[in-house]
Amino acid sequence: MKDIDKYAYMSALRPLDPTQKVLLTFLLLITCLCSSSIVMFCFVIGLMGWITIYKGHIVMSLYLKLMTIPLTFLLLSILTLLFEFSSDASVYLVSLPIGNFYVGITSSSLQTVCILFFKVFASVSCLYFLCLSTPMTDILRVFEKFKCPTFLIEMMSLIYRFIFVLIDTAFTMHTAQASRLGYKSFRLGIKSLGMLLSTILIRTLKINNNLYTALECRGYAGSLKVLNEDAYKRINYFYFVILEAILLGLIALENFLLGR
Amino acid sequence: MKRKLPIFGVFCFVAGLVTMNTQAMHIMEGFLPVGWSIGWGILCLPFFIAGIISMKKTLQEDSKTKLVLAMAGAFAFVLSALKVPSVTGSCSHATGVGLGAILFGPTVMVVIGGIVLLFQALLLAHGGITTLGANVFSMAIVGPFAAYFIYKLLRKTKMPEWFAIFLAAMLGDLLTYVMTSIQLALAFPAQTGGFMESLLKFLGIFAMTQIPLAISEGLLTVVVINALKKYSQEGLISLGRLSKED
Repeated sequence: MKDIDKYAYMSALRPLDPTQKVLLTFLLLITCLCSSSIVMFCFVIGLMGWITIYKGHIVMSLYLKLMTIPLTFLLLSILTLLFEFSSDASVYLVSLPIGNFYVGITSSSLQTVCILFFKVFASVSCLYFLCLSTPMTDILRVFEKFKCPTFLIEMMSLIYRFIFVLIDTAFTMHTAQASRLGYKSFRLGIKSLGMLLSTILIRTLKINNNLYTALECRGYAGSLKVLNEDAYKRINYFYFVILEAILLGLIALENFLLGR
Repeated sequence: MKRKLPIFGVFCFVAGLVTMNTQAMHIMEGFLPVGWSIGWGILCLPFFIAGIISMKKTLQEDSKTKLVLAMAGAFAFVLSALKVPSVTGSCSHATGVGLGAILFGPTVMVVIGGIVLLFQALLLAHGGITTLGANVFSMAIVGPFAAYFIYKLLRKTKMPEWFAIFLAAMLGDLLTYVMTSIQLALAFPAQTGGFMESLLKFLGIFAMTQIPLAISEGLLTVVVINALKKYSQEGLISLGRLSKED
């Protein structure tokens, strides 16, 4: 779980201005969502993969492993979209009779599914570019810049910090339970996990009391103030315009070649 | 032989599905068309704002609850990162919807859930930024509110408490999955049968992974709440006060 966070801190792209990285991600995401050009999706997948792996020095195997995370959901939903039911076999390219009905693939469902498949991978590669190059603390500062309420940012930074307080304990306990056959059967598994979660929750409340006392001793008045060093490398926005022009060009090219 | 082949194929497919390592149903990045992603986001806003206002009110009365709420968020995140044993032998990730709603109340869970979903997208790659609105609506609004009201309703009957908790958590989970299916079907209606056919297909396929998960999560919530009650009377009182106040 901590992989993404760890590599985000180690990434060679970290010194770049986080606002620009967020803007770039959003630009690409919106372009991907609005279009249905497979050539452009492949270009985005290639470009984002190249930037993340070669410019950001992310290990290739990790990147590929991360790419498989959305696969379960994608596979299930794509199969759902691919097959359609009807009592008329003539609309299908391929069909299979089940009782009075036909299950089959229509040309339009095939097209939707193909586009969706590439679209999802293109968007996911954009998401990975952002989360493998920008640690959460940097992203929170972008929120700050866009005038997100301080109350929310405060909450987010607290949650982010607490996650790492809890997660190590949780995984250590999980390993300890698993090595004592705590997850051997379903019944035992539920019992063990219930024990784990309740212990953590109780411990959380205890830590919380101590933490509050400690913070109050240091003059905590509702917000943690952190010093921000603002020394980021910026790229010229001109490159963004060029990139967007290339993407639009690719879409236009594909439309032209397919004669749409 | 000819008739056996598809049946065998379907069997293999189902067997493959139920043993797969599944997550809760986060709609992934890029899956929804642009109109739907924005639409669900706008639909979430009033709930989110109401959540923030209610949270601020709680915080003004007692600033200590800020840390409790943050801890609750972190807890929800950790919960979703752990693997839950499932009836079918596969592992899945829980949502924590029912537990959070019963302990903290649904209005607060909208804000906490929204933040946790954002973190899940950025730290675990579950879900995405553009589908955040849709995911928040199904997992941080529909699920918790359903779980909370079912719990409150069942407590008024003479049902044993553990059963009320179980049903609330399970139904909260199931409604989340139904809501996600509705969102998917709305975005991708079938060509031949329209919205209803698409909805039935999504419900049918995802039922194989989501129903075992809902049962596991229901049981888990009961075990956790029982343990909490047994061990930490004091802790529960301070949590219970939170849910009473909204």
